[in-house]
Amino acid sequence: MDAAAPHDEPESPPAGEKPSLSEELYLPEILKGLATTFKHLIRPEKFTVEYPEKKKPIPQNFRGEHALKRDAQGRVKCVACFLCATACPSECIHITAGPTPPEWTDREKYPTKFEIDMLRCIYCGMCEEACPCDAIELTSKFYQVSETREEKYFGKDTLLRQPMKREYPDQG
Amino acid sequence: MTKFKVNGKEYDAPAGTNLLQFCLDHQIYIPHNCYHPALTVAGNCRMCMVKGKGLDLRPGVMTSCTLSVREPGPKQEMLEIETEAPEVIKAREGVLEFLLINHPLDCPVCDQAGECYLQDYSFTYGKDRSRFVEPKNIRHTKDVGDHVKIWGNRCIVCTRCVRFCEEVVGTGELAVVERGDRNVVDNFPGLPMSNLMSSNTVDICPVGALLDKEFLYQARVWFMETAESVCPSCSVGCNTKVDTYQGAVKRFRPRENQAVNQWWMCDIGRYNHKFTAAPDRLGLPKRRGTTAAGAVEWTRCSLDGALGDVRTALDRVVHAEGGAAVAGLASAWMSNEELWLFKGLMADMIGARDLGLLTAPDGVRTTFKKGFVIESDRNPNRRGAAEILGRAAAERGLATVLDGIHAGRIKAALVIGGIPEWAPPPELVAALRKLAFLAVVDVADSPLAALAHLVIPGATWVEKDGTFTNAQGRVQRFTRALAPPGVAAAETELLQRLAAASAAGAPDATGAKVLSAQSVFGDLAARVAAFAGLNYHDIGTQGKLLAGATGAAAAAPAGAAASGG
Amino acid sequence: MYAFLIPLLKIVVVMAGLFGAVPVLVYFERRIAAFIQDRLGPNRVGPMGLFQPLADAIKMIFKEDIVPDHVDRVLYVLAPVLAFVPPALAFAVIPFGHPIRLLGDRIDLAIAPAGMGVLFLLAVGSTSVYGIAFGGWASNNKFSLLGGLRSSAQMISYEIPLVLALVAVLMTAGTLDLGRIVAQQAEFHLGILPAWNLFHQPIAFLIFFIAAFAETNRLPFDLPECEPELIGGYHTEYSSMKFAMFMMGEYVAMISMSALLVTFFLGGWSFPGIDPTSTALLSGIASVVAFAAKVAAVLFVFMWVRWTLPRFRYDQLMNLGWKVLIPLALLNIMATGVVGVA
Ligand code: SF4
Ligand code: SF4
Ligand code: SF4
Ligand code: SF4
Repeated sequence: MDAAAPHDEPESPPAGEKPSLSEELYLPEILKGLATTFKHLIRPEKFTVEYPEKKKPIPQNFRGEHALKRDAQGRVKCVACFLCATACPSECIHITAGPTPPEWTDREKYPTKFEIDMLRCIYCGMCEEACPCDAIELTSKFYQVSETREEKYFGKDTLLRQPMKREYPDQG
Repeated sequence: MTKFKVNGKEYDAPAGTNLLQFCLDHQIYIPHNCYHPALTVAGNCRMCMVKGKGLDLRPGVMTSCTLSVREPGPKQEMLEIETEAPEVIKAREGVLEFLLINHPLDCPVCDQAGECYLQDYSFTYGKDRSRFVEPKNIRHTKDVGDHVKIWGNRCIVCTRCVRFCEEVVGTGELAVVERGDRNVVDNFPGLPMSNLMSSNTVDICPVGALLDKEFLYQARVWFMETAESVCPSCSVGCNTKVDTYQGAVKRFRPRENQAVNQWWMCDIGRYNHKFTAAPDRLGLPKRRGTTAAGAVEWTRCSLDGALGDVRTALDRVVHAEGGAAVAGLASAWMSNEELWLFKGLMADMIGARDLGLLTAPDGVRTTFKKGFVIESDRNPNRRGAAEILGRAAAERGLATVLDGIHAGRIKAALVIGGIPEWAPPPELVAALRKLAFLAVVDVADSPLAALAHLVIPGATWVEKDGTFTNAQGRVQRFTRALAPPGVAAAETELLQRLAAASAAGAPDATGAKVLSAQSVFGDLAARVAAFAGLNYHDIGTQGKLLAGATGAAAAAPAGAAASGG
Repeated sequence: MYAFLIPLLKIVVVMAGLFGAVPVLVYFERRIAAFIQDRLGPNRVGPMGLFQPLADAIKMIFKEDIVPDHVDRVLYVLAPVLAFVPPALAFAVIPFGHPIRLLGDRIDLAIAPAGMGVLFLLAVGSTSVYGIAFGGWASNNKFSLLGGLRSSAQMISYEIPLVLALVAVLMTAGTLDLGRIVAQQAEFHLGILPAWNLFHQPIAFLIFFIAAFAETNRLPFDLPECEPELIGGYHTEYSSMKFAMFMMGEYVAMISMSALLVTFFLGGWSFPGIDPTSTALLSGIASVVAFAAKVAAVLFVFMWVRWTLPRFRYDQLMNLGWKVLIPLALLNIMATGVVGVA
């Protein structure tokens, strides 16, 4: 084998190599294993984060519940292009488009209804990727509890009320 | 025949053949915006560039839509073009860059996105960046017609719409106004585009400049499902595509059929779909009753129960008074298969003597410059009904039935095949009111349904499969685009289940096997002379003429059909 | 009257202790598992999660008791009972303390101190396979059946080395009376080393210990359950309290096995400082505590091993049983015989 080739497969142990006597006997290996587990047993630091009292910091790019953003005038930024609904692999975005109110002179199309079925959503973030207007965002809202299924069917109002990612960097 | 070469391969075509159309017909795609087979060649979009040589051509790139096949003169070489030469590719890139200079690129909010020539070409042939940094022109956005609105910013001034109004419709409401980069399409002053073919401009506009106001923002095109259908709004039977989204009809588009409607359809037919989703659509059968106070009270019932009851009631009348006491009224909006089953049930099984045909009232016959016609007969299948029920029944049957009712001879009737949004003539209403038993199969809560003792919900043509026979005698297929509301079912199914309901009226019709429209058509073709030799599969997307029909009644002039290439 | 009351009292106390120990064991098993994996384990219900077993029990009791349609009803209901009665029965003969004298009467701290204790144990112990085999059969489900079959094969295979290991011990002890076997181990060699059979018969101890894991279906020999392959094995179709009874059976079996191990090899209730000949109440209690502590230590090893070793493959299991343990046990008997004669 060419020793210089850097990307060779790591060598597998030569075929037919017998396990050593201590391996054959099991017992020394078992004792080694028991020693290892015992070390962990008495090790004081544990990895568990006791959730409601302690929270892990949520990374900035965490994909939590969606928010619809607003533009400078406080209007919904979305132009109802349906690209998020097109990209969505779980087909959980339901938009109804309509002409904008006459006072919105700069835009002609907006969503009269914008619904996301959060129970179908897989939080993949494809919608955010697809949006040409930066109008939809997955916030870092982590704690998502509701008592009914209907509550998880988010309408435009709910989505517009969601906190923005920037303002809640590590909120649970 | 003249020989010429495309991409090094030799072809043969009659002299005068348009090269662009020839290539398109032979699976050599050349991008084009302004060229349309129905319209005169304008050669203004510069998209269909090819590299040509031979004949008297100066070597270089040129538009293929303006080239036609010619015999080389003495000392001239054979015509030869290349569609993917490096010069051609570069030229296309340049043209696209020019087209996009003032184009807003608002595809996300543009209804055309997904079926836009400019979008597709930009992806396939364009450059991925623009060198243009100056601010873009702003052009007008306004209504140009009853159904059509223009987004001037998106217009690429291909003049398809202008030529269409001029050449096909003959009204010429549109023109290109302003000059240079401010070029845009507009109405002639005071001449809104309100001809009956106006919405075809939306279909032929290669970009999202002309858009249908009724379809605006209704759905993105890639979400819609399309079924091939036939327009029922007049006896021409334009071939159509039915686009549905989330179980609702969103728009109709014409489907090319050179023998019927070429590329077009009229606005009457195009917008005649509101009733498919109207609030008065029937989803459940209902039975008339009377409250204690004597007022009419409707109770909902199951489809099986209703069908069983209809059959029982009709059989009881036949039993007591003979078949002549029962009449059947079908409509010219029913498919050939339905009419055939109707005849089988009423005449052969129940023994009714009088069958009549209901028709929508006639409209005005309109002919357009290039031969497109809107027939005065506003029923899709009067010709089929005449062949199947018999000319006598189709023409005089209704009058006979009305007479029979007034004379007291006819006691019960089945009325089927509701005509959408139809106001029945008063004499019909008056007569039906007299019947001891009236069953109505209708698509909506119509005035006729209000007279019935039992109402059974039927399906509109977008909700079922079948065939219509248009005025030329062309049998054309339409396909199911969505499900009927509630328990409503195609009339083919209802009629078969009525026939299967036992004479005793036991509602066990569900167990019977319901034949598809295709099987019923097979039976029809075997038994009715006019349909002999036809089969459902062969009718295909372009239709087939009845035996003996010339196709003359509403056929387009031969010239128009030929120009389609 | 009095002669009747004392055994009854012993039964009640021992059984209460036994079943009371099960939830505690479950709790400890979960905590130990968690600690070994650097987690915390159940610590929410009550102080340090101590009421967790209670919550588990309540959950189990209130779960819907489903008897699937396709099962053999009689065996299906019988199986969980059979799974947990035999291991409990073993406690009938195990001495858990030295005899004490109370109100003038000598009381043996074993429910039924029998001269043939060992034989009783072996007889009862071998019936515990029925519960699992029945469970697997009655469930009428291929996974359960496979679990039941594996279990039968495994238990029969390991019963042999287990008994052969005991034979060597019995050869040195020269008696079948558990009380006397323990009493023998209460002595000392050289004044410090307890005369536990562990030191007389290390090979037998090892074989017995390994076989004990197999007999109780504990990891690394839990092939009858074997979640990844058999989806729980014989108890796949069980729910609610029937499932809980299988669980309890497993833990009771563990306790019995530990008790046996302690009795045969680790000196039973004896402990340096406890006078085996005394019959004082206090000393008796101390001996019970010593017994319990030893059992607890062995139980801890059971759990510790479970969370250390991966599961054996079935062929490895059978190889180990038939090709290693049984020959080894036979050799051990021969060696014991030779040493005894010499
Ligand atoms: S996160 Fe993914 S699944 Fe959820 S709405 Fe967006 S695209 Fe759909
Ligand atoms: S992709 Fe963005 S702009 Fe388009 S519909 Fe979705 S949220 Fe609105
Ligand atoms: S006309 Fe075509 S390219 Fe222009 S915005 Fe509409 S979809 Fe996009
Ligand atoms: S409106 Fe459309 S069809 Fe008419 S010229 Fe402009 S791009 Fe062409």
